Amino acid sequence: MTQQRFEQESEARWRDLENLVQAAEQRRFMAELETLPSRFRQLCADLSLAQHRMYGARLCGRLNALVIRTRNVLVTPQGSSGAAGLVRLWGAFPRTLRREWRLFWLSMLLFWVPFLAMIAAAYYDQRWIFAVLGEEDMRSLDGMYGRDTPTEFLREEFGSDFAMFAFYIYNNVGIGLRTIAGGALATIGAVFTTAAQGVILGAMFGYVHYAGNLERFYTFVAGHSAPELLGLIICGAAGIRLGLAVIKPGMLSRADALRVAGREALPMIYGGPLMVLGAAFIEGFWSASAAPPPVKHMVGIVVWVLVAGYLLLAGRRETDAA
Amino acid sequence: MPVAEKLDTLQRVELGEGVEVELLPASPLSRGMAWLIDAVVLIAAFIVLGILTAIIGFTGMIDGMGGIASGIGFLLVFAILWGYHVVFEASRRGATPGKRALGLRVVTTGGARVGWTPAILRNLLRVVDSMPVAYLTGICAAMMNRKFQRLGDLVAGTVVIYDRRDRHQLGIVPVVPLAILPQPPPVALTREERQALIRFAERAVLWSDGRRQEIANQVSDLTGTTGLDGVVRLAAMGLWLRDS
Repeated sequence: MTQQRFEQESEARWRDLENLVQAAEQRRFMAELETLPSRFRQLCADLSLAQHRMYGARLCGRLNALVIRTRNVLVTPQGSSGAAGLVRLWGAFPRTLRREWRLFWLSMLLFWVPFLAMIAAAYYDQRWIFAVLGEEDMRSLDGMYGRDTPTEFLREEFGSDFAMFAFYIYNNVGIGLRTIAGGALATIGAVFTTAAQGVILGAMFGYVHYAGNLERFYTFVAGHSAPELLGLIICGAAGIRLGLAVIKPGMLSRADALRVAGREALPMIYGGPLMVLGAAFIEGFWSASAAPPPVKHMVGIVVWVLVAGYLLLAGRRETDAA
Repeated sequence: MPVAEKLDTLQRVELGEGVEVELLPASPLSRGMAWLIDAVVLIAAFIVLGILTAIIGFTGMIDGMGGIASGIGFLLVFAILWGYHVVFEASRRGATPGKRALGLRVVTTGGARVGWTPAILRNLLRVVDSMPVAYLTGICAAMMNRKFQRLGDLVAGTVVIYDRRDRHQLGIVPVVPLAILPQPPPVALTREERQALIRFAERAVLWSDGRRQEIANQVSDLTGTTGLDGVVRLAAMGLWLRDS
């Protein structure tokens, strides 16, 4: 059969299919849409035939494009989105974290060792703290948590809670996302950012220990500390997981290892920043509120217990295979 | 792998339906152009946003509106910075405005539409691909694989391809001067060779005269001549092979 005859005999079929696909793309309903799968199989056969008989780039290109287009209508992307995705993430996130417990604890060490060291510096050698914090930082810490600052709370202006909440999302969730991404550079970005967060936050805590009003400070940070710090640490662990694919791809090529790492770390990649997001809610709307300090300390402890319990216990019944 | 497949950037993907389709990965240059257009769109969005927040901030229409306005400003900046590419690429078009302008599209390595997760992953990793300057990391990563995938594409399992649905319209221009009469090749050719001749006949019109002759001169053994004559004979064989 010559190409010409092949095209003549099939042209009407392809036209019909093109119209159907267009209707489907525009979400117009046609009763004929039900025939799309069988028409698609026919088209695939046509393309195979055209390729085998070497009918030239014009025809093959056209059929090639039509196959891809039709398939995009027939096959929707995998994966659950929205509510169903969140439900799956609820169990998958702590499960993944427990599977990657080594990376989690590595990230914990990367954060807490410099953090605690900086607090210790408040009592032994404050020069470490001054080396990290600039004049500006110390002045603003003095303003917020200084010994002479009155104990009334700061955010009196209407709407400033919301402004701070938005800023925390922009800043903290941004840091979490950058930490994950930075890990893809052979873990360097994630290791560095996690440790740097430990140093900077540690220096701030240390400075307040050295020169500030501790009760006031811990009253403010208690509520959101658990999800924020653990969220950032988990972002670090997720980033390191990506970078390990580059350093230690194992039996896979680096390209394949990266893809596998992306899939396996996915619950952490979603979960870490979501925890930081949750922390932004608490920090924005609760941490600066006028509740009495004992209540806030209690809330802080309860949140730590809840977060730890969730990460340790949730999602134990199902498995990832489901 | 035949030589042609090693040279060609076309990616062959086998679908579940038992047919092979071809994807053409986009070049770094057109991806760069698309990025430039998106950058202009983003900067314009931020300028508009800046002006709006400034107006609300300065007029201070209602007492305390400043806090709400700056909060919304931060949320919008965050959403645009991290979400612009994601939303457009996860949409049915699979392309940001810049990519669409350049005729590009993001698909999975299997040639299917991308969902939310691949779109999120590939754009999350944009942060490192763009480091230290001018997407140097991404370009280096893309040079090391056949699909021009930057790190984000590797993690997400995506490719940026040319999405020219009108590619077949190339054939509407007279492919070769009409005066050429199809002629059979003088010797039996392998399947791959026949395919090469057909491609030559179909695409010769896209090249300059010098380039056509340069290519035809490579097979002067087959045509028995060089220069313009060689081009005409080679095209004639290609046409004969295609139409018979």
